[in-house]
Amino acid sequence: MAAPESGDGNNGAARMVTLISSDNTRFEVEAAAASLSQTLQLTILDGGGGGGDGIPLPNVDSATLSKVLEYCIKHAPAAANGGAPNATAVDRAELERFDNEFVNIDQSVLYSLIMAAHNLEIEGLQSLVAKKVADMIKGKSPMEIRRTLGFPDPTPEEQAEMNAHMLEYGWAYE
Amino acid sequence: MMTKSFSPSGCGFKLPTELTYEILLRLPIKSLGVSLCVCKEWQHLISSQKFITEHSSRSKPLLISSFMEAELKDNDMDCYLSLIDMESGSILINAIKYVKDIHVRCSCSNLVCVSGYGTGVQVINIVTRETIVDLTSDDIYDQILPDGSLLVDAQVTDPFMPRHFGFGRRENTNPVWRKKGCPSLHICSCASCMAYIDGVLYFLPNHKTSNAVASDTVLPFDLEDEEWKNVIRGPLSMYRQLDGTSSISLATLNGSLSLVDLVTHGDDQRPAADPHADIWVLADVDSGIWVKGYTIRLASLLCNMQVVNILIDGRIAFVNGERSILWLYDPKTGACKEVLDLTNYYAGGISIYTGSLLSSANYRSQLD
Repeated sequence: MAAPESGDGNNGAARMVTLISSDNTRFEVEAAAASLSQTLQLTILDGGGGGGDGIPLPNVDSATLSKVLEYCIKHAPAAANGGAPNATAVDRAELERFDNEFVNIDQSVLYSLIMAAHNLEIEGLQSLVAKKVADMIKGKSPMEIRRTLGFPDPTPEEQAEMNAHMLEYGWAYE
Repeated sequence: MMTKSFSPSGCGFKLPTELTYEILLRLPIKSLGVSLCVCKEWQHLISSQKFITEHSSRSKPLLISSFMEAELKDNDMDCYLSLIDMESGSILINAIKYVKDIHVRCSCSNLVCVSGYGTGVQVINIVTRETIVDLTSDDIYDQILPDGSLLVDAQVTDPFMPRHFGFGRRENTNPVWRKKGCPSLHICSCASCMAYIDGVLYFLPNHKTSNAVASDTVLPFDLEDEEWKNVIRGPLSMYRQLDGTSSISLATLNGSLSLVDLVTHGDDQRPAADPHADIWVLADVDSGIWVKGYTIRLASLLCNMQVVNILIDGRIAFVNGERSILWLYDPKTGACKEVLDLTNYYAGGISIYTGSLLSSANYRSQLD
């Protein structure tokens, strides 16, 4: 298979880059995987992150970064094929299984992932975590949604406003 | 260092607004109705026009239809006017229950016009369930115009021979109803033989009763003066013989009147295997000059289907009459797919909901 001419270091021996988490842990990873991040892609295209330099990520701690990289490494081959139009059904099913498993995590980890995916602009991961949170909201009442997401209990005024809205949007509760 | 839990205080998840937005975009319409009540910030996000537009472009449209519950079909004639979520294939709102079957004739935003034997004609706000118009006559409404006016065939003793047409404008809460005699020609007032542009209604003659006039003749009626204007000669009869089987309809294209000539059975110039539609645009109303604007090739699959509506993103909704299957056709990609099997729902009539269920304006305006 011909490597796409994207210049992201996907040809020949895989080019490696180093990422440094906020707590100073160094992660060495293939440039192709790290390039799933729009934020990192530019730096990597400019030749950054190689050798002893490393790219510092002051907003992402090591636990979160290792989780993010797990996602990137898994998704990099499909992304290199331009969204994998020629991927087999088996490959796609395997990615889907991985994704489902991947977001089956503690809420605090999920929250860190949402922020990291956002900061690093990893489109697929942003979409995956947003979908996960949406699934947590689905089928719940306003009060249950607030509790699920750790909102404080409403003040009496807020409660009154919620009740008024629930009457107005009665169709959503049938 | 990052906070490692969802927001411990205040509304908003402690997530940037754009992330909350992304999450809410992925909710089905029903969950959004619930989420509106979660907190102020969510309500503002969800009921913003930007969100409503983006959400509806990502999801399948909502459908208005009347349906009978499958298990009731054999015994009773209980019939519901309902809003159906095609995303889940389930009923979102059962707005009104009728003891006889009703037919959805047309809709515009939240207003739906239904008719039925013994029920008469009603215009209902499907969200607030308010009955706007209730006439227990045989009058049949054909169209709700974008400005909220209603059109009606009046005194239809024989459905194929409308002798009058009437129209009503809903100003404040009092609709002003008018009846107007037809000119010497009989007009056809089905939705596809009529177009509304800048206060003027354009009709085609009734094919079945107006043999004396070419079927592409256009009859304009000025709603301001309430008068019939001079007929406009159609573009087709100038160069070919038209018979009763010609499939001609009127439409609005970029604010101009257009006449659509659907050729599905083949003619001298083109073989039947090449179904197409010629669209003529009335370039100048006063001199009656038509310009052939476009020729659109059609997938032969679409020729026997009934058009339900054209969606905001340009996709066209069709119903296959025999099996009551709703299809969506995307002219940009040529893709055509089945979206919903209506067999278990369908009682009669179907319309695409064009209102925005999430807009708070829906509710406030009705209270005035």
